Amino acid sequence: MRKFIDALELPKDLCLGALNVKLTGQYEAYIENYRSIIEYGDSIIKLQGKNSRLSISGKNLKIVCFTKDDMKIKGYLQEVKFY
Amino acid sequence: MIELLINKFKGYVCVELKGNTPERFFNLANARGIHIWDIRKVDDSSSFYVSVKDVYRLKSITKKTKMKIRIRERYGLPFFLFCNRKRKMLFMGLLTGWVIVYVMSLYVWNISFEGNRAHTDDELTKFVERLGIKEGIKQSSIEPEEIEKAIRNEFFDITWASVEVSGTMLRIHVRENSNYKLDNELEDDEEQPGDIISTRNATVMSIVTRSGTPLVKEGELVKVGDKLIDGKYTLYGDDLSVIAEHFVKADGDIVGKVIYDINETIAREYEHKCYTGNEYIVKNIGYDSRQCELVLPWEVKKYKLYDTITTGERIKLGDDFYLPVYIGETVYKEYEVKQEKYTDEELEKLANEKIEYILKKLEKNTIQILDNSVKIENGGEYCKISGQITVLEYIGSFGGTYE
Repeated sequence: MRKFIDALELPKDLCLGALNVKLTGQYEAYIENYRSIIEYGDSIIKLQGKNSRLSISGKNLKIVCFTKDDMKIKGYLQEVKFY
Repeated sequence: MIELLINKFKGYVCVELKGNTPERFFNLANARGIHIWDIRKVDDSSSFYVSVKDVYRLKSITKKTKMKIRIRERYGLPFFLFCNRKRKMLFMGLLTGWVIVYVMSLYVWNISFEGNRAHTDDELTKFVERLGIKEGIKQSSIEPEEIEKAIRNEFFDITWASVEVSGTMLRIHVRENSNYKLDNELEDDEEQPGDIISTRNATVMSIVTRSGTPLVKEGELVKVGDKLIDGKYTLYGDDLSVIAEHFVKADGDIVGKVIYDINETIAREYEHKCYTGNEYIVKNIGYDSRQCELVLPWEVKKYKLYDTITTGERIKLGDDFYLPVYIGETVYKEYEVKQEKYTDEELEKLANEKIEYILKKLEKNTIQILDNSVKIENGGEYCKISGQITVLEYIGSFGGTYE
């Protein structure tokens, strides 16, 4: 399936439901295609995607706004990790 | 920004959330379409913002997740109104203010003209006033097309007019045909026959006639109003009988020697206005151009002599929303009148300035100043400037016309 999508150069966030993360320096992260919040704290936020999990760690993290599909996080970001 | 304004209008609250599973709480709220924003972790609790409408919907989620919520702050219009529910006069004042501004906005409070050069604002204002358009007229009673038509009919050189109501301002744009008047005048001048008459008591020094019959010769004395060149052109036959009479526009240059008698006096003693430095400022407010003082100037009554300087400015909201209310101030400045005397040097300087002024005035029409025998007599209580100025100047002017 992945090879097929690669060959056709289709967008993976739509076809595979992959997490789409957009970072603005160390201050802002915009995440699309997440499913739910696994953990929330001022130093770590863990999110569940369709096929993977995302962990964002830093300082003074806050969720500025979120809907069913996307979320905006502000604060001092130190690490973005898939696990 | 728009979202913030909507939230402010509808009202929103800051909620403190306590419990072990805030993540589950947020996921459930999200699944139910409850809009939550600005989630922060404060010690062992979380805080977030939610609209007033959605607060009640959170109850079932708190029960399900065994969390506790507490409203910390309330924001927005509904809470402001609730807090100030006893201040009836405040709302009455706001409402009255709004009604006044609304009613005022139905009228015209300023009329401006744009694009006029040959016609002054005053001239156009007087004309539109005759049409019934003046400050204070209801906007609904204005018929722009009628005004435009009337302006075009009244002023032939205005080729285009546009009337626009903007805010409480009536803007009248006009476009003038600058060539119109010149053409018209030329036609008029060519058509009208007439004489050239004398504008001064003078001795004729030279006369050049381009059209018409000259009536005076060099060296002749003429008085104001005397006919110099006749517009009637008579053709005589061999037997000196009149064959034909043509009426033309008399034209020519007549140079005359004019003598001006100068007789002026300047008093040595004069009154000098000295401000004492005492002044009293009163704030004014007024409707239309009539201003009244907010405070009665009791202090001013102590002044014997004073100058009054009143300044005022019309209140406007934005660029075009003029209101018929003036705000300004009146300054009462006390002064004393002192009798002072000019010194000889000052008097001479004043006299010289006066002569210079007279000469400058004469220079406008004059070809040449032939003689200047003006003398300054300084001494005593007065300074006398007397003498004669003899000049050469054009003395002819187009005068009487034939019907």
